[in-house]
Amino acid sequence: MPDAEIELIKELFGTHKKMMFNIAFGILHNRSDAEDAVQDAFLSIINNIEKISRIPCREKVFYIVTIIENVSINKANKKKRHPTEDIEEHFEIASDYSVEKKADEALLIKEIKSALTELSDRDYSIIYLYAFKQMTPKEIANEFGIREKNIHTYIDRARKRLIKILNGRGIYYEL
Amino acid sequence: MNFDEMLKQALDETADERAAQMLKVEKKHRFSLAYRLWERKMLCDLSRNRYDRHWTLRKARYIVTTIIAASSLLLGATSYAAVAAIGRYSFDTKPDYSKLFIENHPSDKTTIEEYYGLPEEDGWVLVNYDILFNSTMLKYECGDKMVSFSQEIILEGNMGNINTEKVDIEPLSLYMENDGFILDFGDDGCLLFWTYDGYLLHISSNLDKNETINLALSTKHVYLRDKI
Repeated sequence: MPDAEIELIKELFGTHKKMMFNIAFGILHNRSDAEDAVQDAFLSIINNIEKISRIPCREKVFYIVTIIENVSINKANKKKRHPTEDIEEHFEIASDYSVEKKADEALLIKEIKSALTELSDRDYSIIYLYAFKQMTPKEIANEFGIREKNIHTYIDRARKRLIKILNGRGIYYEL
Repeated sequence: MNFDEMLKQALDETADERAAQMLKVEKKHRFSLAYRLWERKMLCDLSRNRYDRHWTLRKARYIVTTIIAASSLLLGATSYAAVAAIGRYSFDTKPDYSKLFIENHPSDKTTIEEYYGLPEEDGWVLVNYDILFNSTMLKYECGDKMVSFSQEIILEGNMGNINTEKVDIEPLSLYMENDGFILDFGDDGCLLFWTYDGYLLHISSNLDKNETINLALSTKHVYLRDKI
């Protein structure tokens, strides 16, 4: 493994582990399980360090949030023995939106930025990868080793929450 | 501009701030001893281009639990604990006389930025070393004098174990009031801990108390980057 990648791993361990623990603990509500999740997430990062090293600095945290969320949710599901929901029947991706309320674009963008601050870290991260990085659900699934139908669920829920926040501000979109 | 394009622009303009906010952790967690053992060995192995997939957190927990259980059994411990504070350190006395000492003022350093060691001009020769991004262990010799010098970043919580069965903890004020403490084992040498520049430093030596304290006071910056 190149020295630069080893240094990056050390840096990620140092700067991100507390954030990762808090995310994992928020899902698992158990300190030992949360530390296990952090370990698993770091092993995933180490195994994919070549890809992660090519990601721009500011985006690394979104990838890491997605990884730790996924690891924690899988752990939580295993503990509960909860069957995963098959959402293929329910999922729809719409590519067109109609804007009912006419507004200046700059004002709308400002509203969207404000709405984004109300999204959770997980929802923000997944929307970032999907809407800004223009990654397809399949690409995100392959990148993180997550099941594709789970990615569809995460994206769908994140977008619905964003739309709901905008609706609350009087800005209406149809999915 | 449609909604997707506006969303994309909004994400672009908020990403930096959001990323910074995500890393700004409000709730701090003291990682367990087992986790820190796992992380330390994992990073050490990676530095040496070794990656042991069998080294897991579960294994580290097992090791820590086994050591604690073995110590308790050997000394026939009864359940008793007391916490005492000396200066900036807290000591949690266990039935087997070991004490966990805790730094009450964690620093914000997450990696070692400058290395400390003993002055070579005084005759100290570095004979062995182990250098990681968050800790160092340097072994020096000068004739028949032997010193082990360690530097660590200060984590929250438990910093280490010391055995106080036959020795008392004596507080020291080296550079600031109560910034250190020493254990004098007589003919068996001394163990001295102190905090400096946001790091925890410790010396283990076969010297007497005054010589060990003088060593701590002679600590200086050393160049170790060529050894990493």
